[in-house]
Amino acid sequence: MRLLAKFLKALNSEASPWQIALGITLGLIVGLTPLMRLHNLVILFLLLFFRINIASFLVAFGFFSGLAYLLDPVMISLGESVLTAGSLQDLWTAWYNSSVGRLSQFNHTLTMGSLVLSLLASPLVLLASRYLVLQYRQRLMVWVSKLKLVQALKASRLYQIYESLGN
Amino acid sequence: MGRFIRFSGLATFLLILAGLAAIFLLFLNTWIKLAVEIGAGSANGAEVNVGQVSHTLSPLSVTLEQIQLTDPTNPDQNRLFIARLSGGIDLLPLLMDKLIIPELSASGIRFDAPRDSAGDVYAKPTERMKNLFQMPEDSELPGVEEILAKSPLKTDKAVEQARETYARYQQQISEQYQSLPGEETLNDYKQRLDSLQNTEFKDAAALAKAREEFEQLQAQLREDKGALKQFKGSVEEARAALEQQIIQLKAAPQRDYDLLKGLLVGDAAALGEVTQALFGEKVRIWSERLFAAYHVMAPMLARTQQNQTEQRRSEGRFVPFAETRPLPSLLIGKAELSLDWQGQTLSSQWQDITTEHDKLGRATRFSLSSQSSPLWQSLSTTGDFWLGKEGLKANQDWELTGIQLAQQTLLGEGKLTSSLERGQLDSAGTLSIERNQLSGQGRINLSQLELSAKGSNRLTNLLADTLRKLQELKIEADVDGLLDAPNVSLRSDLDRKLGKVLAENVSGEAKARLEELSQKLNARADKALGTQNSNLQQLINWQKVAEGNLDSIEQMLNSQFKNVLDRQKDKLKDKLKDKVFGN
Repeated sequence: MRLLAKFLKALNSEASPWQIALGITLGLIVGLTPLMRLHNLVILFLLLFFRINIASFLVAFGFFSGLAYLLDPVMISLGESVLTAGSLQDLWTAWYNSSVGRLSQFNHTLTMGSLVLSLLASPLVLLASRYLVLQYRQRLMVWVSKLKLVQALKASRLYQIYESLGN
Repeated sequence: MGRFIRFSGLATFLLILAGLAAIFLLFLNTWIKLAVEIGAGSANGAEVNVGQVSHTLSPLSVTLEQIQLTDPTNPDQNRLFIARLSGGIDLLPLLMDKLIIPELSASGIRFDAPRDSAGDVYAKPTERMKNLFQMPEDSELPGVEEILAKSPLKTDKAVEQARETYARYQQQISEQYQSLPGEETLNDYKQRLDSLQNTEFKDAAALAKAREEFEQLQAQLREDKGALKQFKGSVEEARAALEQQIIQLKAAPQRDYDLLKGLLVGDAAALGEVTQALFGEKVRIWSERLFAAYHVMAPMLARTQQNQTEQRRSEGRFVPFAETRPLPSLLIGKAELSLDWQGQTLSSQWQDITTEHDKLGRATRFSLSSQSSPLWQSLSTTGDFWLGKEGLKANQDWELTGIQLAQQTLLGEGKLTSSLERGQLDSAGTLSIERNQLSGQGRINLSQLELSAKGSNRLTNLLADTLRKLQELKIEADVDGLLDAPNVSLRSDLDRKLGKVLAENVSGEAKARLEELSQKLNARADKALGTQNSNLQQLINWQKVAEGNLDSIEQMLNSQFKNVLDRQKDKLKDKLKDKVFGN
């Protein structure tokens, strides 16, 4: 609940739409791929070192982790195709014989499939999420705040948390 | 710069890394312990416990203490106990998911050590049949007819073989006999020959015609001689074969009697396999120690290999690529394993322990050698094994001398109980395994024996008396069957000795049955012997006839037409003299 409140606050704050979009995109990659992988450590570094919105990352991570269960068969199949593609065998063989390559577990079909899918989707998600943040702020933020439901929510615990974050 | 970079975030990242490293180091020993207990437990098929774990980071090494592998067949005992196991680990291959241990040492290894509490069994082993010595009471013994009906008799076989042998030659000899010149023909030859020799020829033309007829007769005689010789040869061959069959037929009832009398006076299995019944279980246990490499290590390695494959196919799969430096997933370069046995320490050396010999290209090799100790004079065994796609391939030979045997129960249940009080064991042999199929031979010499034995009926009391007097025993052992179901069969002259003792001490009722058995076996053979003896006589008669006819023909062939010519020449000379000298 606190996390959701933070995310809402970020949406309604002056935080850059790029920061929120990048958070969502990194959340997409970590959410879709198996968690205990080397590339996720790199993403963690990027997330913390650069000014990327952590709340949006965490919300996106939760959402895409759930989605990953549905997409696993497709991603495994994609990984299988990529890893067995004839033209890429030399690359994979060289990578397989390196310590970093082995640590990355790239030759796991689900890891490769989910990484390829999330990387392919990330530019689209990045631009789409930035666009949606902007659209929300321009068109919906004022309208939403006037809704009776939102006003009721403002009296709720969620809103109290939301408010406390500002302090 | 500060607009894009969050230095506090970098600090957080480093803090997270440090925290992860701290957690890793803090719980590393626990994780290793759990990993070994779960992994080895799965390979062992029963609970594995590790007492303590310690490690060093530079160089990377791990030490495990008090490792207990529950025996799946007896969860109250440990199949294997290792007091201390330590080895270095190569870091770089570890990053590539390969456990390479250049050197490993294990000390305080003990078999069958008791556990504090029963261990869990994950894979229930198949139950081994109990080897009881069940000697029946006299009243339980089968009847003669029953035994004769159920037993594959050598007498019946000899009767059948003799019949087949005669039948095989009979047709050929009969056909040959039909084509031979009969008595009439021979007499005709003789008359024609006499006629030619005694006729006075008046002119040269008649003489030439007679000579031509004589030569035709000679040719016919030579042809008949050939047929007779062939016939005689066939008869001689048939006679020799039949005589051999008759010898076997005469001996068969006695052989059957020797084999079947055990059934009448006791249990055949018990008599024939008393060595197996008495020492089979102990030899099985000894062989498990001797072949520990295959009974303990190879199955564990094989199961480890199987588990690796199974785990990797759960969610997605790891696609393998060609390795520039192919290394197996597990490799222990050198290992020194010290085994504690009855207060003595035995050290064995191992090279290249792995689960993937095909990839390594070398077999796992091991050797154990120990000289004089209070419990043995010398122990030596060497071997190798290779776990490949086609199963286990292995070789081992051993030579053990002067092993002092402690008191142990040989037969604890059944109608005969027996214990080994003391003794000395010498053994040597070889074992090979190809595609999990065992093949081996060995000898086990037991000397300075002191056996205690007790029977519970008349027959087992007799056996017990014999066993108590036994001072030495030479056992021949054959190993065959499959690796997970080995079959060790033992035989010795004890089986024969005990059979003799029982035969000499049979009861009156059993004696009568033995007499009946002997009579019935002889009766079966006698009928066939009568037939075959008359067949043999027939062959002998044919042989005599053939020899007689051959003599006649030989004589006829020896007669020369030259005599006739000489006579004619003499006559011409006489005529010429008369004309010249005017007589």
